[in-house]
Amino acid sequence: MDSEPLLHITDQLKLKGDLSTSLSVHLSTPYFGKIKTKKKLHCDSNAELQGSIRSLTLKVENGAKVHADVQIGTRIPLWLKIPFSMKKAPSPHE
Amino acid sequence: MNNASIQVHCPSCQHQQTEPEGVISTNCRACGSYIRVSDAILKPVIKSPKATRTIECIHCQTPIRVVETALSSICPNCSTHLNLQSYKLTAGDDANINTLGTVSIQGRKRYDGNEIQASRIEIGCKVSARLIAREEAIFSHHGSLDGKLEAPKISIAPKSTAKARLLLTPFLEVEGEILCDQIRAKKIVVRHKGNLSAKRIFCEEIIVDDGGVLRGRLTTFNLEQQIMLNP
Repeated sequence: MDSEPLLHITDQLKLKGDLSTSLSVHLSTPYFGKIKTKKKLHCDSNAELQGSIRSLTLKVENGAKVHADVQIGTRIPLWLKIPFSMKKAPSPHE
Repeated sequence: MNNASIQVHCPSCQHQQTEPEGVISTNCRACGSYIRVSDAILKPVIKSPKATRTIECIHCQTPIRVVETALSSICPNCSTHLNLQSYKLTAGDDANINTLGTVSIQGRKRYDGNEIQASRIEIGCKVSARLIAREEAIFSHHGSLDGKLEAPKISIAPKSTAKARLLLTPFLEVEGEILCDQIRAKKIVVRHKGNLSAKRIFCEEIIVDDGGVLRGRLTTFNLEQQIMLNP
């Protein structure tokens, strides 16, 4: 059994907006927005996802409804390397 | 059952023929002369059963057992002629092929053809044709397909770089790299070091292993939506 820390999103856990985490994510409820994780994303058969996905690995079970732009892979995008609080706000002159 | 037989050598015309073990005399099948076998024995031959395989008729799906090396057969149920040959195609071979063997398309030049149907199709170069594999289609080396491919299983071989417009399959396994306009599959598996990039991906189930790469717009669907049936 996988014992790594896991963020399990069920209908008990109401989430709004985009999600960015370094934990593995198990989605088993409708979710609308972006999901970014440094680790695994598992959408089980009850999952519904509209938006975008970025993760290290992906597993979508039969029955899940996903409509998303996906980028899955080993290359960690820049946005994951920089903590979000440290991100520089874009200058109006840029 | 005793399959033992012996080779008999005609002293008159030097013809060789096979006779059952224990025979005392015979006539030469070439010149007709009488042969006393005890004088003309060469060596005993033990016949072993030939390896067989089971194929399915392309017309009525009746299972047929044929010798492994057979090049053709006829269905005992519907009398359809079955081509069992394997082909290696290169640029210039543009005939329509329908076989229960393997078709391998290789070469440096682009292959332009109409329709190829085979049990197994290997795409190792630029191909412009409609391909239908009854068992499996494999992209290897720099296989590139300008046309439609249908197969129960499509594999992208490790270390290969493939391109395709539309892939239509129940099962796609990616171990190499593939760039595609559209994929419609029931199940997609991207293995370690596999790389799948597609503008649109329609599937029921997808697994991207650690070390695999997937890029594109993913839509999962049920077969009730009939995307597979009405592309």
